[in-house]
Amino acid sequence: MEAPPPGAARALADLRRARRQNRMGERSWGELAYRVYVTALVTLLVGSSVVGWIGDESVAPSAVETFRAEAPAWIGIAVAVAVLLAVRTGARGGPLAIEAAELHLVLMAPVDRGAVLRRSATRSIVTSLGWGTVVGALAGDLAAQRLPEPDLAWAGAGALAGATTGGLVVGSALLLAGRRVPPLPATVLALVLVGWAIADTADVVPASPTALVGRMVVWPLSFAPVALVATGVAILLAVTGRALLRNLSIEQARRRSTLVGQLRFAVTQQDLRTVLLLRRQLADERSRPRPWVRTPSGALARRFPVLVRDLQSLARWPVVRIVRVLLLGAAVGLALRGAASGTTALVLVAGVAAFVAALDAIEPMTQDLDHPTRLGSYPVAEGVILLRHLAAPTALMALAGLVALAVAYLVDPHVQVLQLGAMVWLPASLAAVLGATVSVNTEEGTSSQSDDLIPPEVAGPRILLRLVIPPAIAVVGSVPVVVAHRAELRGDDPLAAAVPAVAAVLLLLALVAGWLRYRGELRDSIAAASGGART
Amino acid sequence: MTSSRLRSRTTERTVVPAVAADELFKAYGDAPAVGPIDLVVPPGEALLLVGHNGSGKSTLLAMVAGLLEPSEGEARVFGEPPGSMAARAVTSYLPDTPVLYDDLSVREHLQYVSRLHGADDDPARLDGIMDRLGLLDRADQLPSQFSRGLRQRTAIAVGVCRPFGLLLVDEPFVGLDTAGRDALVELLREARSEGATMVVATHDPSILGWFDRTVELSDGEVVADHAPGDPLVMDTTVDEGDEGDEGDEGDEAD
Repeated sequence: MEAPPPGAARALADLRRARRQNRMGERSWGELAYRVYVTALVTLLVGSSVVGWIGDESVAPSAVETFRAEAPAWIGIAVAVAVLLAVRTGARGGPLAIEAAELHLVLMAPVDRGAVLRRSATRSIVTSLGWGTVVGALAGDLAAQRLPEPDLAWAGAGALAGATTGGLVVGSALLLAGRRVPPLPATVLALVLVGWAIADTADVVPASPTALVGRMVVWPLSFAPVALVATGVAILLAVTGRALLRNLSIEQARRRSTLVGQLRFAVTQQDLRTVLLLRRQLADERSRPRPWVRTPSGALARRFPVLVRDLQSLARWPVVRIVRVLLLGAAVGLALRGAASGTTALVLVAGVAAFVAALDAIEPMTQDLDHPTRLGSYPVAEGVILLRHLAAPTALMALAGLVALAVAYLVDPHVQVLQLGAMVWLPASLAAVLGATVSVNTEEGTSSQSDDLIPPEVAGPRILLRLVIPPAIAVVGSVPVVVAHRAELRGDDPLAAAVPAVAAVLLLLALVAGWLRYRGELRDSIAAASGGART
Repeated sequence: MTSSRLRSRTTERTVVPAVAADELFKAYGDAPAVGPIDLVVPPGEALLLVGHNGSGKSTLLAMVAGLLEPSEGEARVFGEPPGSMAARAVTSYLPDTPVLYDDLSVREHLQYVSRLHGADDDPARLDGIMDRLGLLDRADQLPSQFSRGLRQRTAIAVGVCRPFGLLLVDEPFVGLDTAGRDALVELLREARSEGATMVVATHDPSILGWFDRTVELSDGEVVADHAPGDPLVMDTTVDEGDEGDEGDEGDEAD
């Protein structure tokens, strides 16, 4: 039997219609349109406000020329890394996340799987292109604050480059998933692309293919139609990937459908820890049975059990996690270098990248938090154990910080970069770790009974704060870089200006550490007081 | 020579087996989950698959259903690769956990699954199936609002409302009350009397009586293959809450 039974296609269309009607049954089109309108308006207002608020000064003509010449290669690295991530996803059956019922009831029926999957693929492509366009346009608008030529030109070029990147990403993932390319050769191929892009920045090889997207970004300065080749490749990949989905591995799709379903639920619950764990499962990222290095034992382990436990965990990191943290470290270095030269918004990028890396670094602590009964059973205050858990992740983040410093110096080989980097290095590392620690500790308390008593007007902003404060702590660690740059613009000594900023950051971090230390006692006191009030 | 071997040999001469596993093997990373297994199930046979948690029952069923890919060896369903269009047309798989849409009623589930498989969606026929499973009063309700047992009944209805030549059932009684259990047993017996082949994985020994054959798995390998009347010793001390052993697969796979 090679053809679907007669009427199957019609049944499938009816199924879609019935589901859509049932889903829409409780909502009116007017309500839906209003929601879309409000969301679009808020996004537009917030985006343009942030861009306008940052409003950095224009760069010198020589810097514009440097940007025009060098930016394509650097943007090429970012695009190549995005393709690498997409390739890894595709080799594991992504990016489609098929609903479990769709998989069991439709894909296991004698219907044309390709036709069923193409619908999901279209949604995936549209989403990817949409996000690429929005992010690209915002980045272009941001660049326009400092560069010559009209805002619209930069936003348009950014939007097209973003959409092209989105197409390259989703297309390569779909193609690999549909052709069932194993992870190893796919990853090697993508790594070659990343290596080429990196070598391109040093001008030791011809321009990398992904640098074409970068050339599109600088169109307002230098129009090069050849960049459209990248858009053509993106379209080709997306169209081919969508067309060849018939052979998608059902086993991988089934695994993804389970994990992605849980992942979506965790996201709606703002449960970052679960999101992280599920994402690792999706990426097949497991701890090594054998540690890379032997960890201390004997007297040292008895004297510092928490530190040694943390080192044992970190020593089992899989290669992919190590590479990810190092890459994030490099991204922090690049972003801070950009912030130090006047693009203030990049300090947010640096802070968020450090925060994401720190979420990995505090894994040993979160393992303890995942078992609250055990954590509470130790004859030591919970806050003390949390503080002891900070040492190993901070040391690890400091190593990633060295990578950041090295990258920043490579891009801008001036001694001042090293001096400023040395001042910010440890506070920024600690800030990232404390931000991540606050994040997992506030999640842990989300389901407390006291939350039930909070009115909705307070609960909303509280959730927002819980989401915003942890990465904000990580961002604060890099703020001295911006302070130094502002001082330089005024003609002051940037390093001298950074000293009080670093001191202020350290003070803030001490307060955060204090909160972590005494949080348990505070919570118990409040619970006792509210319990007493009720009785 | 055991009766099953004799049966297999006879089957090979006459008809295409409903299920044929040849050195079928599945591993997750370095951890073997099933096999290598050689198994032939002739058309019309009712085979009971028993074994402890993690013995590989669910993984074997999922491979035959086409949901998992073998690491080595191969399986065939009526001579076709599992998961192929032809195999999908004849295989009905009831997983241990009900898998249903959140936004379709029980009746809509049955209508569309029937039509997807080229069967008629005659209301009287579908009402009859729902009635037997005690779902008729809830036909227009969403299963997402049901209890575990009712969802399981809905999944059974969805599994049997369409034509099939091979019924694969994984831990069918989990979550079912006595009435649901009786209804399921009756449906299984009816399907068998109509000539369907069935492979049922269970910890529950109470339905042993009317199966043609019992295959026992341990650590992913066949350790016993019993014809009717053969003595079968089953350890039934497994916990009631067990919902199949494919969870082990999930752990390994992840």
